[in-house]
Amino acid sequence: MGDVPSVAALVSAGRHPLTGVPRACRGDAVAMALGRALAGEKFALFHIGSVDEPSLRDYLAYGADKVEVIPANKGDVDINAVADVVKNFDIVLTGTRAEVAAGSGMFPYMLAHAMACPVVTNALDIRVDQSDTGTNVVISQFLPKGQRRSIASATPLVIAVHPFAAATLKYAHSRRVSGTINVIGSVSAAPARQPSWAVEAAPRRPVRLKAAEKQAGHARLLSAIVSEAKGGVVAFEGTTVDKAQVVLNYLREHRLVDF
Amino acid sequence: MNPPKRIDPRRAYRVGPQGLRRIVLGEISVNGTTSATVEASRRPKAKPLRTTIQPTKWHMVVAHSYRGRLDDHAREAIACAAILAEPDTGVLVVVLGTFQEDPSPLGADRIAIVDDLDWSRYEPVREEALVDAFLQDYCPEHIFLPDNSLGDGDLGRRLLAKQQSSGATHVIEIDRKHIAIVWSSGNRLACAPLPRIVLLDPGAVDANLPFVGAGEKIAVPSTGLASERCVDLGLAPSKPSEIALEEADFIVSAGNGVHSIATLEELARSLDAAVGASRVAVDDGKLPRSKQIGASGKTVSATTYFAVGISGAVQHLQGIKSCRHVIAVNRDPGAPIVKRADLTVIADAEEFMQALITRVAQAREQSELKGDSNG
Repeated sequence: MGDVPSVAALVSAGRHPLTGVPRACRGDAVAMALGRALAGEKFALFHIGSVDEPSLRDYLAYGADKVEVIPANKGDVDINAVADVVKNFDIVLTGTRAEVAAGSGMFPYMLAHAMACPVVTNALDIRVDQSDTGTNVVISQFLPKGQRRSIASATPLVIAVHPFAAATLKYAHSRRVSGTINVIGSVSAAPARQPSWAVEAAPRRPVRLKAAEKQAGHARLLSAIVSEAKGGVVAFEGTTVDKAQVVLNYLREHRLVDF
Repeated sequence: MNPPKRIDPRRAYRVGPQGLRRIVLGEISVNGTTSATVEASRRPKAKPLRTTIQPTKWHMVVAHSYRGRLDDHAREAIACAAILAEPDTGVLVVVLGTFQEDPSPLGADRIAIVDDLDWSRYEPVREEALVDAFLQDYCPEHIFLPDNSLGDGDLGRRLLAKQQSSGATHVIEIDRKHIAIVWSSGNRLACAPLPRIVLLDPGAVDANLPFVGAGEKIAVPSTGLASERCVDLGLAPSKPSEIALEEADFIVSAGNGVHSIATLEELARSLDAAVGASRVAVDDGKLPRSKQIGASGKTVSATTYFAVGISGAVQHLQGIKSCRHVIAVNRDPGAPIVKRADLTVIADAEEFMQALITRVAQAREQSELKGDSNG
């Protein structure tokens, strides 16, 4: 079968947000499941980081046969070296956001930039069409307000999978034990492009940015007793048909309906 | 001899939100009526311009509009740019999509409206080329974008990957000196100096400004033809009955005043809306628990929320906090939902729903006929 695309999935170490227990990152596990469904034999799973990472076994339990680990230190990975590792794959899958550290969601974009190929994010479903002109990947993209967008692209391509993607994850302890974790090559360190984050020791709520308002005391007291102009139009008058027309006019005026 | 000090019981007052009389300090009543200055304070005062100095530096905001307006998240990004701006810094706003509102109350000094780069289109290369053109013209000190899935989060990250300048995403706290993000999705924050490109999370900034911007409209630079590497195959709206209630854009919701759920569902179908319910309707078994909206149910963020026969208990109003347009139908003009709703119809739910279904069907037919004659 020469027409099945080769797919690589890059997974990150997951941590439970409250307890910090190592686990598979949900978005990455979904990306892995989509990749396995697409490519079958021609699927490879990569992790850049520590070989001893405890959450990698979870990915094995969710269906991967083996994980290729590229040893690297946290935070200072040379993205071009990562691009070299996955450059021979038609499709590179990632999750949307990492669970540890900043979780900026920048990785797929940086990788696509290094590979000089397009990136499509928030993918819910991936379909591969074979045609005479080459492989055509059709992606269903998540948009807010219940909208879905279809995007077609040629390979190579980086796709970040949305956590809502329809993939069934089945956990099997036997696969967790029997799966293998291999070490391949290494990635050179590069100066971090991310800002240097200083993590605060104690939890606190973020402070909202507010415009400084210079007001006299009298004005402030007044504003405390003046009710905000809230509450809209009330339609008392007329028959129900008239009132229905009022509602329809409102919907049309604010372009909430398209008729 | 000085006369004894007396407090005039009919001194100037105005009626507060609870309907109680509140005396106004420093005012003297004239013939027992509220004085002119009190009347003046009731009228919203015109806000001053943020700055009158000709800008030499710029802050830039890029945001997609939705249905011809900028949502609260995008407004926060513009407010952030305006609050952090020095007196000699201008705020340049690039709106992708149609926009009809007045830009000055948002804090924008210059605004460029790109009608044909709507959120519904997927043209990343053209978007980037356009933003690049603005970056070259204005060299903004800082660029602010709302970190949403409407396309701004995507655009911002593509800019960040391409530009070699520093940037941060999911920013939850910001001031002139520093930014903070949530670390490891827990409850601790991580701080860094303010970078050039900032993608703001919702709620990081208060969008109420005590000043206005100049609001000058500018022309959009032409970018030439861009060859997209991805082909947009178009949008496919999912059926309102299939998506989660939290995602729905139009919700018709039933309360105690609705007796026939069939009519309500017909109304929802005719308006292409999802069906929700208040706690009472769910407790009565009219609709399943998964449809409940409110404190113990779901929190929705629909653009349009149609509350039929719902009185609007605070627990329910909590669930519809972020809905933009609330339309209520109720028999009781004193119901708390009337205060929240943008439009209230005082009518019997059943009769009104029937009338609206008929009217909507007529309107749809007319618009189809019109569309046929135009085409």
